[in-house]
Amino acid sequence: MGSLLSTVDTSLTHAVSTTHVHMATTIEVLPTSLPGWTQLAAVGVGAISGAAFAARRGFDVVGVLVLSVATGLGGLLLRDTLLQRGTSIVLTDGRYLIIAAIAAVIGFFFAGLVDRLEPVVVVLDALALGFLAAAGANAALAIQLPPSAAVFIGAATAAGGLVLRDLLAGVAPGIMRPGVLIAAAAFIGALVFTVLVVYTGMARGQAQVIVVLVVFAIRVLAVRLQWRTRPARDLTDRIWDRWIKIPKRNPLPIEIAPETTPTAVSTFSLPPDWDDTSTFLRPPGLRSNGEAEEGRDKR
Amino acid sequence: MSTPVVDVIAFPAFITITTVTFGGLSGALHATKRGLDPIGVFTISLLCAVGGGIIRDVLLQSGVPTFLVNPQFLGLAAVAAVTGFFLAGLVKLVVPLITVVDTLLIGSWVLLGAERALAYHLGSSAAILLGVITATGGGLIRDLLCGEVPAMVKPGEWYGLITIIAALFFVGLVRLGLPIGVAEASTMVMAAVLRIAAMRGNWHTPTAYDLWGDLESRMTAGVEQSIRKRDETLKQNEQVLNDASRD
Repeated sequence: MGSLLSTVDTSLTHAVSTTHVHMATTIEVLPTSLPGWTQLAAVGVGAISGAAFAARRGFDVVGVLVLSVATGLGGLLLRDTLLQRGTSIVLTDGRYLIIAAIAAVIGFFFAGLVDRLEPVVVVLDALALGFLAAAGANAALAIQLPPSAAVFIGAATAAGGLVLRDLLAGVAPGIMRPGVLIAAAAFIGALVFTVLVVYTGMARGQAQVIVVLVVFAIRVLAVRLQWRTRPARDLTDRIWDRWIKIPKRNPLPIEIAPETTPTAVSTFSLPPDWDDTSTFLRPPGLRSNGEAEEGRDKR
Repeated sequence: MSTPVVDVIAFPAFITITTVTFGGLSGALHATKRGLDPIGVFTISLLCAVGGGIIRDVLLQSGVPTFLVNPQFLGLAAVAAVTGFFLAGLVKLVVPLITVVDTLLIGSWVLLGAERALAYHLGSSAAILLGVITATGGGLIRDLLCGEVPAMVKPGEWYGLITIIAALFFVGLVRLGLPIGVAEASTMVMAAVLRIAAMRGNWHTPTAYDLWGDLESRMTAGVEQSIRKRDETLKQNEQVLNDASRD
């Protein structure tokens, strides 16, 4: 695919020492001005946090390994699956799985240490998030997808691992709930990368560095200042009241008819017990007053 | 049997757009009801709209999924998500409309998958499978991401069953040699009629029935015990159904 290779920023290829070009159709890991080990490091950080997550929940060896692989490699795997350009980099480059396995061992035996080093993990996670967002958006742009798709793929690459981890652990994915700003940060990172590359023509390597810094700043500020995302709010009533509703008119005064005394229209009237059905089908002799009835009972 | 080749996809584009839009809208409402944040609402809305299509495209290995190539799908999902996020009250007003459109379009979901499979010269069973997956995949992903048991695998309304019947029907008609347009139209009508009948008649899908246990108890312990056992099973089924409908 010559067009793909031509999109590679030639001024940056010297920095890409560990680039793997497998087949003509695979996505380049490229063109990054960050050294090649940074992507492995980003994957490793995610894998360690996934392994610690599993260990804390009392998963067994296999569970920790699976969650470590899912959290670390899930995003890249999702990206390569959606972009459909041959086998995923996660499988063709053996180092990714090895790093995930090492992370699983660390998480299995040192989950307590990982918890104790939480600030460090948060910082590393923030760096990895921006890196993966840029890597995902870059891969989508490299095969000439529209910018909106690149933003989506970038955010999915960065946050996909967390979604996969939660699904496999059997909990509702947390990044979609109101709470800490992770998916939103990844989304903003992918957006910034796409805007920089597509609309300002910035070199991809520089754009990636900027994205990593932006996402890092957002994540750290979000943690420090406790920014939280909010659930939906229903603006229908407000918009309705403000813009659409027809103002209420004053109710028309209702004419109340003056009270009139009812006048008799007829002198005919029914006997007071005319609707008493109990007396209806009796013979005429037994009809009427209660005295005769009582008398009959006594007899 | 000669394999008919469906090279020209005769499915009108506006039906696809309507199907996807209403899928996105119902997904956005679902997510808003569960109190998700903006990213969550957008994700659920998008995956309700195109989730089945993504699974289909990945299984067919037919290149980048359609929703990534066509920016309009992402745009539709974004509009649906924003609408559901801020105007949930408005969307709730049109829930009857969503239900009606959903009912009418259940067949078109199936067609979106089955037809693509036939266009790739796959066999009948593969086309049926892809039709069902495309129709139910969006809801499946939605329920997984919301952390619930997928509605598809729970006893309850006739939805998944109708997609299976519709896929069988469509592939059967195509294999009988009917023109593709006729097969499409009749499948959509059949699925809609079946869905309406299921909703009107309040049909519920049955849970597993222990036929062997029933026979065994009949043979060993006489009629009364088997009746007692059947009543217990029925009561359990009813309870499961009640639980499912309460969700």
